[in-house]
Amino acid sequence: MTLSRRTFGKLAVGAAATTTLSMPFIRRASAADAAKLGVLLPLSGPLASLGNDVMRGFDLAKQMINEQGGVFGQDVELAIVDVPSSTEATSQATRLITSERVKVIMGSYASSISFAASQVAERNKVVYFEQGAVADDITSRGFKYLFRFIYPASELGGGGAQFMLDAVAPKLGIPNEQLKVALLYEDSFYGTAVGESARTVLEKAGVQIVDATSYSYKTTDLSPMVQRYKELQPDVLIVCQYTPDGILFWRQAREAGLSVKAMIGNGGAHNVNEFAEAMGDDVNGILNAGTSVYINKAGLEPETAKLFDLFHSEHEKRFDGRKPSAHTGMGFNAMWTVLKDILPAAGSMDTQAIREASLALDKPIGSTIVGWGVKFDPETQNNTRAFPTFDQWQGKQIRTVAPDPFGIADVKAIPMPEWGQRGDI
Amino acid sequence: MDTLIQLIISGALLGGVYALAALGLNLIFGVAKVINFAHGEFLMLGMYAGYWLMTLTGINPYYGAPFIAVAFFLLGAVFYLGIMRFTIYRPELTQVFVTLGLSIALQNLALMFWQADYRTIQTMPQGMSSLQLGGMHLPTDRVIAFGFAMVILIAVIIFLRKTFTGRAIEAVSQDLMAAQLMGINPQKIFVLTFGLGIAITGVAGGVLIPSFYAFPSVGTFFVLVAFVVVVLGGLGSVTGTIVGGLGLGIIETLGGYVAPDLKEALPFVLLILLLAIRPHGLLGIKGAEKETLK
Repeated sequence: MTLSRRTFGKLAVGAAATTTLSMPFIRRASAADAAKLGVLLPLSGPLASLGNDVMRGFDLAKQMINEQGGVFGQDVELAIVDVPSSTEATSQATRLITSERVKVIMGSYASSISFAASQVAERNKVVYFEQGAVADDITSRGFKYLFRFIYPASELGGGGAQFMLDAVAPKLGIPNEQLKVALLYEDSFYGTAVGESARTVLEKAGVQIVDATSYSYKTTDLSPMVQRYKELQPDVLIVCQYTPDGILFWRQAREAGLSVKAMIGNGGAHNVNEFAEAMGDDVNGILNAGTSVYINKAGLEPETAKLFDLFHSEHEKRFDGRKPSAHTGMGFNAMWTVLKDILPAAGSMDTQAIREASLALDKPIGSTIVGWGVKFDPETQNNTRAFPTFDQWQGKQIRTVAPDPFGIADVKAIPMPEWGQRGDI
Repeated sequence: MDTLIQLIISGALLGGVYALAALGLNLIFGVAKVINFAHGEFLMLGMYAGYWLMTLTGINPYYGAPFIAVAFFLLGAVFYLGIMRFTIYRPELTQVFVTLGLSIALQNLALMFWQADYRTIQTMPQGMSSLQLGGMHLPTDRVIAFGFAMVILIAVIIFLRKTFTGRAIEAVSQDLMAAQLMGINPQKIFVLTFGLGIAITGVAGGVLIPSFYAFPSVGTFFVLVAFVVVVLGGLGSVTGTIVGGLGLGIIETLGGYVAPDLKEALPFVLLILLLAIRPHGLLGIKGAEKETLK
């Protein structure tokens, strides 16, 4: 088949028209000092699902801010690059800085991507706000232009393990010395950091760690691990997984009839709706340490509680009735804080001013939609007021159970009933 | 002992899936000597076909497999007539770039149309997700996928050996020139082979979706394994694909039990060893790895 020039022209015009029509919110920036932010996320490839969740959060915050008049009296503009894996992180970060000339980059959810991209930003003195990558090492390099909103992995994995010891173990009635725990985590930065910090807390508490295993999240089969646990019979299973491997593992665990008394995930798969859809009623009872946008808003400041409601209603309105995930919430939170608090305080896109405004920011706990406050540590530039929340799947919904005052439900069904009998939890 | 048996069964079930996922790749390579780098993406499309069939019409992909097969046969024929026909006698590098380009294009089209969400379906009612057999747990969906794999593999072997058309395909795969001299039209054979290869791949995706999940780059998870299976079993050999798939599945499962950290590395270690000792694979024809159409 050959395309005549005329047909090709028609096709091109049609394609251009469709693109323009489908993106009514994107406008051209004009002035030099407009708030133009780089966004660096995995939007395709195996990590794309949660990457797109974060993107929706960024996008929603940007739209809402622009409808309120933007920043510096102008609309905020985002320059978006897709970074499917850490291999592309350096080149795409360089592109944002050299050809898009951004002064601020918002990233990037996956720890391995963040690790590589933030290095480029630091070298070029561009401010890098990390909204959701948890690996401790990211902020232990003494970088001056890197700020992280989320808690580090040690607080996630360690916090999850501590939560298990405080809230789950007493319900099982097994003393620590006899409690058998297995750790399973994916082997990139994220899983390893979470797994190792959980291990430290568990060892300190004198718990029996019967197994600690890592695997690649790109695997097509996890039945050998399931089989190991059938042999070792741990009481509690603590895992750290991305979505694809999370779905695979839990399905195979169900198929093999692996029964444990409690299961705890650490973010990733375990607080997204796709996980619930893949597992059906059997998702109920699974615990998760991470972040939630389904917290008790009574714990939020009145202003923030209003924003919390607005976030939920606007998200459903603008994204075809879709319910926001925790990652969307974290993305929204970071973008909102940068556009609403940090940039106006800095007064311009000067990176030094942005850095100082970030360090000066002081928002109490309960002042963001995920419950956190914001206060960056002057040394590590980690957000010292971020903390993991703990959730349980109940009635196929993720419900926060701790800490107070953000809990909306109590921990139920420990020890867990068999697979197939979890519909009532 | 029970654990060992359970592991071997799990491995064999996984291996059956691997074999099915690799068969289309091997068939197309064996006959047209084209290494289809977009193979994983056709598998991805098959998974989406299974997913959409179930979500939109409520037809379980197991019953819907014939529809998927027909649709993907046509897709394969179009793939050949629209693209590969122009590269078939060209240097291998042209084919590599064309199929690689198609792979990237298909991934991004899928991303555009269906977004990056992980999509999956449940075909079995709650509590029916595994069959119990004397203390062993057999995941129902994988058992069915395995059944599909075996039936299709055997049917393909019979088709190639016992029917006139099948023998014509074999003839082209063995010696294009001689086949042409015998009055076989290679273009027809190529259309048929691509159709068949892609149809099998589509069905493989369709029966995989209940135990797996679809997203735009899911093909990359399987395509490397498919290449290992093909090389392991022997280039161009259908029986080899079964042996390669089952062997790989069992070895991976056993290895994963003993040393989980090394699970992903095992297939490739095996591949390197085999390539050093038997470059044509376990059941491949000697010299098949050097063949190109001329």
